[in-house]
Amino acid sequence: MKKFLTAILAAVLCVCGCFGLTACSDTPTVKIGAQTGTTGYMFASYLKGTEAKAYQSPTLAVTDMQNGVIDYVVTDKAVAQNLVDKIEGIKMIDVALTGEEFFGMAVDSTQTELLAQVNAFFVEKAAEINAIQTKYLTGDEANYVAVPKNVEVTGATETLKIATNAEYAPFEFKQGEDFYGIDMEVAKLLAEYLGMNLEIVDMAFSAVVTSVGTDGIDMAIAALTITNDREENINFTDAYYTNSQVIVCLEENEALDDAGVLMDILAVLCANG
Amino acid sequence: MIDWAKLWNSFTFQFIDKGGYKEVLRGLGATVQIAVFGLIIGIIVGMFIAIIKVMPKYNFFAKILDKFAVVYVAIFRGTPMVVQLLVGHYFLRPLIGWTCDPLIEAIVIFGLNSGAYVSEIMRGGIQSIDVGQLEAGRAVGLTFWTAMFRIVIPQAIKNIIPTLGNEFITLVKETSVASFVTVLDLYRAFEQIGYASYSFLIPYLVLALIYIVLIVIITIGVKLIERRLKKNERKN
Repeated sequence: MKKFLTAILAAVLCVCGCFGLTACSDTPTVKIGAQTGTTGYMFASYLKGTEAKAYQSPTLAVTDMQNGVIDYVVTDKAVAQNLVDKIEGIKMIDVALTGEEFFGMAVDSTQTELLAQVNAFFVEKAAEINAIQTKYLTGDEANYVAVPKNVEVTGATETLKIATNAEYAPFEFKQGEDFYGIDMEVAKLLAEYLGMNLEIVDMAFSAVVTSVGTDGIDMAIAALTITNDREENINFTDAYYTNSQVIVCLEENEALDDAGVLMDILAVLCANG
Repeated sequence: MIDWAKLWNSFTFQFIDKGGYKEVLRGLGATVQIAVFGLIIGIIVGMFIAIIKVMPKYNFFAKILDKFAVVYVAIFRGTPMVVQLLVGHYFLRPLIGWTCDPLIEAIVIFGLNSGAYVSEIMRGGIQSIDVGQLEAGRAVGLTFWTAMFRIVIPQAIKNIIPTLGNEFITLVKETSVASFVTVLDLYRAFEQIGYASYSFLIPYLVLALIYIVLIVIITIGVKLIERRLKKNERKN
């Protein structure tokens, strides 16, 4: 029995030791964090010679970067700007990592009429939508408008039920009981345009897209990036926001300070690849 | 009516054309590593905790150890796995300045968590062995620990193999929360595949299938071990 136990113990120590050596080796690979399921994560996982780490939110990724677990965070430019404003000791490298990306809303595939109405809304209310976006992108906090969970629109009989994940400032976030953010104010504007009441359902990001068409949810508005693969399965509206991916890193990290174009960044990140 | 051809196309697209199977294999590796090493750590930790609990409390040292064991079990059984992982990752890790891979961190935390459960299983096993066995060992001059490891524990382990199998199965399924601390486990691999095209139906179905296959394999393994350990028993 003693021999058996010793053997097990030795095996465990050996394996743990080996893991430890590979995981804490002196030439670490560049570790890049991003929110799970985002285009930022996909970008990070395609890079050669780097390790992509998936987080529940960009904020957690930044926390881990400050703890020294990862080196860089990839996220949407507006989100990055918001993080830099809120959290001390980090900076944004203002170089677009991907081509232009577009956010669209996901509409229940059985409601073709709604899709057409939303697209028309984007054209007609372009100026208002633009104003909302500018307000949040410049951090004009005094003019943020709270959007309650249920918005009553005068004369409305039907309700537009939307799904979102309110942990993604400045697109959607919660303060107290009320929702704020570009998507939330646009949703309110949309409800008024359609003459419908608005109901916002907050849920985990992984549930947002699948929830459309179930439980009476008409649309998902959650900073969803339109891609070809996703269009196969999801009924996207036209684009209402143009986005790009950027890198966030610690203030003392100077490796990317001189980067002017994407190639400079790739040269640093993929140095081991 | 389910459109089988479309589902099949979706499957081949997500898992083969887009290279999803590679992520699945990597995730499977992480899941198996966490479960297996977690259980090994759990058995070792659990065994010592169990012995401490059944040890006669004749001196001060034993009493202190006993209190420690009680607190340990209370902490690890009293908080959810996810909370333990998050506290470990975002609080303890920076605190002690640990820089290892999150996979190892997950293995350690799963091991410690499992240790709390295994300790109770083990205590049940030890107490199922007649106390006369230990006393006989002590009477012929063996120390407490020798009598424990040579006489009681081997019989106890034989009795608790089915329950340990149960614990292992729970552990395998619980690994799906390791993704909270950035471990690319089986669940996370399938989630990534789903996100790439926002089509989650097939990935989640395949995920369920893989878990079932894993668990069936473990069940068969536990059966084989049980049969092997029963060889010396009288057949009635």
